[in-house]
Amino acid sequence: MLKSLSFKNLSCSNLALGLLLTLLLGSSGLALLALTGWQTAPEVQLWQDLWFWRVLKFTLWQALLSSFISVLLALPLARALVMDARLPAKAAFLRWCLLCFVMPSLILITGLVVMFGFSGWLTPFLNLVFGDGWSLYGLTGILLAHVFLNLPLAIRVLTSQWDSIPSSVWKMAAQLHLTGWQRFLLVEWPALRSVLPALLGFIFLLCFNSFAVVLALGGGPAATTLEVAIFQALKYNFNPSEALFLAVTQLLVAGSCFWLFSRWGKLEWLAPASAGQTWRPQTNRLTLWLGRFFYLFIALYLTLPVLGLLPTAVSKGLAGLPWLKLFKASGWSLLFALTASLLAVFMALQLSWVSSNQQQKNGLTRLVPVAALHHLIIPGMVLSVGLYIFFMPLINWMDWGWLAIIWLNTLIALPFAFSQLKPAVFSYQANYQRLAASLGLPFGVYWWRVVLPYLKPALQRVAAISLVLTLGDFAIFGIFGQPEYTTLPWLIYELAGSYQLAAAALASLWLLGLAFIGLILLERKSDVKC
Amino acid sequence: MDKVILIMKQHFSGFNFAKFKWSSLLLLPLLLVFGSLSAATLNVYTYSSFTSDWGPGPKLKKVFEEQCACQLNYISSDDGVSLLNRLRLEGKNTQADVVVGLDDALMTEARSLGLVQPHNLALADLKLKSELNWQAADFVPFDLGYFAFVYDTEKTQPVVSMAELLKSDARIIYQDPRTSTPGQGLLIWMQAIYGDKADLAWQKMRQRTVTVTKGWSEAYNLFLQGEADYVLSYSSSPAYHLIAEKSDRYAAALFSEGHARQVEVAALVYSSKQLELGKQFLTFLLSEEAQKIIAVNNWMLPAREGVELPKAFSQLIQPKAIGFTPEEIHQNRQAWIRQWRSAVSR
Repeated sequence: MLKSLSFKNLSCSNLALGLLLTLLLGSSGLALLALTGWQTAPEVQLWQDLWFWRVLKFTLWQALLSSFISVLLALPLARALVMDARLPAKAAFLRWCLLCFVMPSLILITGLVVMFGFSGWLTPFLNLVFGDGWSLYGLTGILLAHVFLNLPLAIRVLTSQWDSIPSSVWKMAAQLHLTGWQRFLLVEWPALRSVLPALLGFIFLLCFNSFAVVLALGGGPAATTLEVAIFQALKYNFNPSEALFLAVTQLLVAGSCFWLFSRWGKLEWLAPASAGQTWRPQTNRLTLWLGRFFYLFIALYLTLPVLGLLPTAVSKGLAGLPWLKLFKASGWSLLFALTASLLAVFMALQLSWVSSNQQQKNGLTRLVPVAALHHLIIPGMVLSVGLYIFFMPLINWMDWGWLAIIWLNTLIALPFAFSQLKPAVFSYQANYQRLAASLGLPFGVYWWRVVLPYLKPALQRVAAISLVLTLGDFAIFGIFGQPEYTTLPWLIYELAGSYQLAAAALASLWLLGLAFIGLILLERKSDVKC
Repeated sequence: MDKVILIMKQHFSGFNFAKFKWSSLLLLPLLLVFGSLSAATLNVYTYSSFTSDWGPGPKLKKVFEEQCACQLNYISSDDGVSLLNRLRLEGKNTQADVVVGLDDALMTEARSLGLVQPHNLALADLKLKSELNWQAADFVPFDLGYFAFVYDTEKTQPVVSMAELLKSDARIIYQDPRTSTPGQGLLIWMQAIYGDKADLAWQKMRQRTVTVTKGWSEAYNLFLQGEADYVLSYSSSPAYHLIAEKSDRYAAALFSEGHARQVEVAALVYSSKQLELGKQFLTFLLSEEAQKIIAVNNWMLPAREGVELPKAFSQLIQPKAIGFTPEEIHQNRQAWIRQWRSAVSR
């Protein structure tokens, strides 16, 4: 009896798994099929267009600059954070860094316009320094935003790397009377060397695939990246074949970069920073004070654009603000983000459950990691454009765009959710699976009382980050969205674009609040661990 | 008279009044629903500044609904070019009955995509301006304007030609030709003046450009905040400042090469079932009353002959029109956009 039941369960779950895998792999399969020219041939002649090469060059150039500036700024700061025991508010700063990294970029864009825009707070000062030539729009704005979003990641990764050098090694270096420079070469550099390539590569990739920042701060055709060019080809020019060619290029470059960088090492950026007091050598006064000054400078840079939103939001009084639009957009944003992140978490749970189950290994389960993780390689814009063009003759996107928004956001959040959940599920199955099975609990009780409580911290963390990721979605909505269900990021873009800065600042703060609630859940749980 | 009462008595005899009340109460909401459904709805696709509170849309709706016993329903897109893209994407499934706000440069494209249908109106009755020389059987013009660079008379000594503008060290803001009809107008204007050498002219323009915006309102707002010396707009834009702000501070520069002209047009969408109502709306758009509303809310010139306008309109510059036929524009638009894109990218 028991045997037949479990067999039936097995085939049933196999069916469900097969369906899920078909959906996951099928989505990207169809998108790729569209890219190869299934319905519309990509416009290959673009190879000969000087414009195409300029766009590609600019895309690579800004990503290269952004990644190097981020890492170069993070190096001295991370060192100061580790070596200077008396720096105030370190833990809060590192937490703020995490928020900055996952912050929906539209919030930052509004903040930067408030600070550095045409009538920004700091603009008169900058005009003095740069002799009236200051303009946020163009490469300057793109770099300011990209460094803001990625410097925090570099700080967290490098801090944890420096922190991982054990006290004993520092002590030994001190006993051997190594000079500062020798100590750096022999003790610190080996610890950093292992992460620097992957860190640079990862930030490069994020900036290569950046969309909202470039669209909002690029300031026109002079500063266009591939991703923006894809969007404009489809939405401004209605030229699907050009969009396809650009998307193929984007996929080839981003995909091979990802493949390359992922071989260089893995980054641990979610790991909570240690607040432990370990022994550190004395640093000389000059380095110490330079580090402190640098800390202050970066802290101001990372907080001012966000803090500036508050006075701007209330500057015109609360009466003239588009409250109705704001509430509607929040509703849609929450609906899309909650559905997508719940779907992603459920799917990640099922997939990691199946793939770490040692007893049932078959062809299907071997496909699971591929299905769950391969969306990392395909940029969201490429996936969206591929699916959009594939289904264009078959369905009316005006009616079904919302479905694509939810599904594609799920796909974007899934690799992250899967890779975060899998270790927890694996350790559960390795340690408790047999024990729990021996209890013979009914299915529901088993999951509700045993599995879920064990996985709760991981699930909470994954759900929170997925929610923040999907709340900030800009590219997918850009392709599939309709004005009838504008989400918060697009509302902010429209408001900031028409220079209704007070309203844009309010909407940005509101979105930040929603993201913050998600992250409070996240950080509360991970603090327990450290 | 007695006869009537007799008939009524006969009619109501044997009628259960209690029951009547019940059924009428039940029917009331149903009747209301059917009543509102039977008042026909006309869906009008247009661009967002047309329907905004300060645009002509709401005022036109009010006047038209008083005449038509119908409901006018606006559905708006960002601007003229995205309006066309939306119609193209929706294809057969579109809800649109009438599209308002494409321009003469997009007319041929919309026609060749089969998005519109003949209006069957007698053009002679519409009293269109003779300078338009209007022949189209599907589109009707509802306003027109000349693209022009607007400047602040308190700060800027105006240039007198495009050549001088490109040689100057002025800061310019204009709109993206892929999204905005003024941007597309500048594309046509530059082609009309420079022809084969337009890419060189665009390279000079690039050095003068502060930013290229997606739509007209962003550009104009930036200009009003003092971020540029010139903004691409219409020769009639100063009328807004003269009338709404009682200020003669802003003016349009008259260029000796001539100016590109834009005619904004409206048409019946090919799949529309509300043909009579749609035709009524097109005729209404060209009525004297609607033309006046459009002129002082959309800040464009009337398409109809002899519309009485505020005095401010007579103070505007009177440019010479240059440009191309809609067919020529249709054939070259993509190539011109590419040329612009290459010339202004670095």
